[in-house]
Amino acid sequence: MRPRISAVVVLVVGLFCPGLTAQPPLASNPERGEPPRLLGVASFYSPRMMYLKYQPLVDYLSDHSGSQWELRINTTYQQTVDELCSGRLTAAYMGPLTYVRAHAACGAEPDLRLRTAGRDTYQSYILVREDSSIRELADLEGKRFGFGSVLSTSSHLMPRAMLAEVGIHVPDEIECFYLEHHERAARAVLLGEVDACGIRDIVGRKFLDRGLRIVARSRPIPNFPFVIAPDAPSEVRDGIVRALVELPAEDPEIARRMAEWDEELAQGFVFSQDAEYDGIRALAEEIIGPGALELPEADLRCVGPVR
Amino acid sequence: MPRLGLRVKFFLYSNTLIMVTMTLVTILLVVHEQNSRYEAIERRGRSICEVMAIPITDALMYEDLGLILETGMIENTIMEIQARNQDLVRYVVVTDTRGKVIHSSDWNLLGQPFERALGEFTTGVDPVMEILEDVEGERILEGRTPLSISTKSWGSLTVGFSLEPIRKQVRAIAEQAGWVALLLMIGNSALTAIYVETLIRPILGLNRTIKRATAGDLSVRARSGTAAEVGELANAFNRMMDEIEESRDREKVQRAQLAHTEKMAAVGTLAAGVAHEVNNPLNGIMTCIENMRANLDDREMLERYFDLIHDGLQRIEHTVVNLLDFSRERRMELMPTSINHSLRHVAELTKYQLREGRVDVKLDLDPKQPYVTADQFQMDQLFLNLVLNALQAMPGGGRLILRTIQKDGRVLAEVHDTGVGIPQERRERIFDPFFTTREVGEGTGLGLTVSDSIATAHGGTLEVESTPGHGSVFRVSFPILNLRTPGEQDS
Repeated sequence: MRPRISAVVVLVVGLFCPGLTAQPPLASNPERGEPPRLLGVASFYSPRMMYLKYQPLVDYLSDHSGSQWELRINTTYQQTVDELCSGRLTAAYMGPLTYVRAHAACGAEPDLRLRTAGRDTYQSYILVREDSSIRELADLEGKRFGFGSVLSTSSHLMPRAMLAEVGIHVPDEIECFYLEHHERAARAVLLGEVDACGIRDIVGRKFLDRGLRIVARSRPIPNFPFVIAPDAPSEVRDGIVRALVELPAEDPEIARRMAEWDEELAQGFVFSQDAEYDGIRALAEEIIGPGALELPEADLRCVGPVR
Repeated sequence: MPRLGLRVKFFLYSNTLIMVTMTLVTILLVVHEQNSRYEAIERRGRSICEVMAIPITDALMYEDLGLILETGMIENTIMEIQARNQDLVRYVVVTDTRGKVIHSSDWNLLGQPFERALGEFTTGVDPVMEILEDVEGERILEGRTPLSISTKSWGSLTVGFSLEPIRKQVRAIAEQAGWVALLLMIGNSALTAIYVETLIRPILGLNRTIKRATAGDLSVRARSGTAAEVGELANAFNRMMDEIEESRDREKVQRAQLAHTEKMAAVGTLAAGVAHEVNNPLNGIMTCIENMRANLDDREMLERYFDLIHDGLQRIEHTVVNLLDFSRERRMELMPTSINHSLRHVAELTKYQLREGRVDVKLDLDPKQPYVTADQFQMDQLFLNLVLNALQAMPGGGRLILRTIQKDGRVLAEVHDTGVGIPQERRERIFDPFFTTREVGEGTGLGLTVSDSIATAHGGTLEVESTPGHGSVFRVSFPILNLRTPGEQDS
């Protein structure tokens, strides 16, 4: 209801008081039959969980950014890159490694970066079962290791980097499993399907009292960027920035709606720029290899098909 | 409307009580069962809707994301839910966000718009449950729930749950309650019959005893030693009857004493007449004796004077015997008694007083000679009191009519006088004991009281009509005795 009311109000005010229409024209207007703009998010969790955690954010953007938005759950990280660069997505929320590949593919820029619990970085954890004999990274040699997606920063790039630091390299010194979602990787450890996994901190912390134990933590990773398509209209870009950076978190209504968001979104966003991800870019080429920013996802796997 | 007996009343009361109680209990039971079963079905239906919505939403979502090609997952879910809830689930309809049926247990609906589907913007709410009164002749509880995650909707799910099982179950409960009520009533009737016999028999016995007592049999006594309260009642009744009998005996004695007192007073009143009746023959006898003494030799005259003396003595004897008969104290003897005879006798007794009082007497007696069951001497006393009362009412003389007539199976004996009459304010008190308008020493004040008492004791009544200044009528009414003595007609 609110977007319709605000749209009508803006329309009426615009018609009769042209001097007061400081707001840019609506980027997508369902009253005019325009389709909503798509906000792409790679499926970090199961699709149901993704809708539960990100649909409220999309609803908020529709109410406060001046554009109507629809959530687009991308089944792979690469799909987010492809759809952003093809113009299907107007905006996307993606991991750092996915972002540097999008930047390489079509020059996408990070407009905003996630601020988690007051920090704009996060970490990757390597976790084992509490009763595991693995005490340090070196103990993982020859073990079965569960990664998330190939293009996941915290669930692939950073764990491999941590393993490489102790001299464990894939695929010779470890057996790789790609389990797509972070939670699935953690469950695989609990089930004994793999001996360890590497996942992002916010997910890993949920399993610390459920039978998993941290073996190692990565160095800080620049947090997820919110990327707006290079060819998106400026009013859309401005609307998103206004809605997310100038987020009135003290407003009880806004606070109530933010409580429904994925908890990592609840701290809001800060401005960002591409240079902040140079370290990720370099690390990807060092750990995954040359072509880490361009090659198809399948070519970057350490082992064969996902189990 | 005939009055119902205690047995019937008890039976009707207890069975009505059972019927009303069981009806109320049945209604409460049915309403409670219906509500609780409806709530159970609503909970179950709500649960089925919620559980079904999850895999159907996931299937639609995964298909939407291109993760799967929906090749029967939703149909399988619908079939399984129906198979596992055959008694309950009547239909399942899955619509898209525009209300078009995309999956259904009824394949004829596919592609059709479904009016009752939830709107596109109905998301994230609990299932909506609504009772539809007639869906193909059946009462249906329909549950509708959005197929959504957060505010993202893929359509809605509608499931129809039959309420027919509830109707059957509740009807069965009502029928069972009805049978129980019927059995209770039959059992109650049997128990009532037994209980009434033990409980009410003493009451009915007491009732019969009371009726006999009311009819005049003061010797009857109720059986005691039965149920506590009834036994106490019987004992109380017996005590009361004892007291009534004693009181009746005392009253008899007192009435007899009163009557005798009044009789003696009447005798006193009659004494002047008696003296006159005795004195006249005595004067004649004295004259005869004087003449006889002077003519001792005249045998023929002596014989004539002896005859005259004999006649005079007979008249004296007759007068004295009459008075003695009247004044003698007797036990009450009920026998067929002629009212005409009593009135004539009283007129004879009071002849002197009436004549002295210049009262003209007329006897207007029914020639059919009405008889009543009465004590002749008490009848004499009754009418004597009335005649003396009339005489008193006519100090300057007047006319006295003694009349008997038969009317409606009763004998009416009337004493008319043309005296001073009785004012209205005194009329109600004239039968009270010792009420008199005469000077002190001129009467006992018991005359009319005794007359009324005699009339009542013989099953009769004594009434008075009076017009002050014109006279009074005292009317005694007795039930007539059907006794005809052949050839006995009044002259």
